[in-house]
Formats: sequence, structure tokens, C-alpha cells
Amino acid sequence: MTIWTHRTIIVPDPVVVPARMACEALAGAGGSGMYQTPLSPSGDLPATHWISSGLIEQDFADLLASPDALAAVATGAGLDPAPLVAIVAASDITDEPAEAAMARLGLQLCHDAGPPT
Amino acid sequence: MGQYFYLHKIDLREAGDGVGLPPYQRVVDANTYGTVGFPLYLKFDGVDDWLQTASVDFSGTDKVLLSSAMRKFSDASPAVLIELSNIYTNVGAFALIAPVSAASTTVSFVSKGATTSTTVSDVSAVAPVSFVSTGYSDIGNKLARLHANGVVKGSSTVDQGGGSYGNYPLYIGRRGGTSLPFNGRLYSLLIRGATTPDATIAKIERYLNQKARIY
Repeated sequence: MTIWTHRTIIVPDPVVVPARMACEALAGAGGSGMYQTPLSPSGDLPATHWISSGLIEQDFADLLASPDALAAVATGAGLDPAPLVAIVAASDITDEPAEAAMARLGLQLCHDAGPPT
Repeated sequence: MGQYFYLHKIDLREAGDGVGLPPYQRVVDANTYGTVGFPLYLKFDGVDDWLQTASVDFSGTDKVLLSSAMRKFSDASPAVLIELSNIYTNVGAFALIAPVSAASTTVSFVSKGATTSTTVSDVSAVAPVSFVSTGYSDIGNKLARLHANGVVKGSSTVDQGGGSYGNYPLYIGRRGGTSLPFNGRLYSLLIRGATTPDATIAKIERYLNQKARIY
């Protein structure tokens, strides 16, 4: 049985593109579409960070918590582990609710869509 | 020896979370918990949770009923719970928005015909709050109406410009999957593209409430 666990992951904007690619490379379709929600201190664009929050497989949570394990998996997948480890190190990864993690980092959701009606 | 006190029949339920819910839910961890007697729902975290269907063809009708059992957790930011296409940019669209603007205690139903959108709101929906919320619109007869928990909360006779609804994807939890994320629960959803008499609306609302145990 797959064990799920909650993680809030906030990735700095400069590394968000490789972070998205890494998630898809390591997790396949289940890893696509990550870090699509922009954040910034004021709530205005441009984004300084990007967030994903929700349940992930415990195996992936364990990988994110262990640079050595992440490097081993990346090497096994034919990827250079150094950039991956650097992305994880630069990111904020907790089991906090998204609101708590954003508040702690002084970030807000960017409101980029204009009036709702 | 010593002093004793007793706690008896403690009710640990969240206030206003529903009626007839069991007094206690066994929770071991995120993967192991009791479900018997508790309504099932989709939880949207107000950050990045959303669903999308393939295009649903409402082009043969100018009437729509949109009924959902929902719980809104936040009034902080405008949020789209249900939306056919994008009510702001496209014609022939409809939406249930909760709330409609920042720091707003609203649940709003919005319908847009060929030219103009009309919004009907329940302005007393202070989060956290649960509803069976039903929007009904008849473009040709210049009618839009919002019910909450079986009570009419607002109506509009604004001319939406005729026309019909469109053939678009339906988004749940976010506008277009990219913005205005909803923070709350969706217990159930029913959309019907046809004339719906009041008696049928009441029957639908009772059914959704029976499942969600909101009021």
C-alpha cells in the first residue's frame, strides 16, 4: 500500500524550471505540474517563489529529506545529482500547512488573474 | 488521597461542521482513520488543488442549474469553486465563486450570456461556513438566482444578452487551473443544463444535504 504524507514545498524562482523538470524525471506523470503557483512578498508579480502543497508518496518525502539518498537515486537514473541536491537545499520543505509555511517566509499567493467576475 | 476531576462526554467536533456527525473520529495517521458516518469530500487547500473535465457541451441550452454542497474555509482571497470556461473573459460561461473578492463574506453565482454577466450573492457567508449552494440561470428569461441551504439569497433580472452557454472545460477549485484557488471542501456537485422547477431544485438540495449533512 502506498503511504502518503503531506509536504509543502516552496522553491525559489531561479531554480523553479529545473525543479519542475526534476520532479517529472524522477516521478513521471505524477511529478508533472509541480510548482505552478506563484508567490511573492507583496502578492504582486513577478513571483519570487513557487509552491506545491499536498500529499506525496512517503518514498519521495524520504528522498527530499536525505541528500545522500537523493544523489543515489539521481545517479541511478542517469542524472547529475549535484543540481538536484542544490535545488532541494535551496527549497523550503516542511509538513506545515501551506498558509503556515508562506507566513513563516513572508510570502503571499500572487493574484494575477484580474477581477474574478 | 489527592483530587480528581472527570471529563464526561467531551464533544471535540468542529463547531458548525455539520449536523448528525459522529461525536468522535478515530485518527491514527494521515492514512488510517475512521470514515463511517462522515461525509466524503474533496479538500482544496487554497494553493494548488484543482480538477478539470473535458469540454462539456452546454451550447444547446440557455438554462443551467449548478448545485453544490461545499464548505468554505477562507474569505481572504477571491476563489473559484466551479467555473465553466472563464466567466471574466468568455461568453456563455457560469461560475460559483467563494468568495467573490478579498476579505468578502460571499458566495456568488455568476452567469454570462452573449454579452453581459450577472452576479447574485449571499453576502452573509462568513467563513468557515457550509452550504448547499444552488445557482440557477435562465438567459432567455433574464433570470439568475442563488439559493443557500434552501433559501433564496439573491436574484437578478439583468439582461445577459441572449445566446446560450458554451462548450468548454469545467474547472473545479481554480480558475483555469492557474489562479483564484478555492480553500475548502466540495462534498458534491450537480450541474443540469435544462429548465429546473423550484420543486426539483428543492429536491436536489435535499439530496445533496442528505449526503453532506450540512443543515
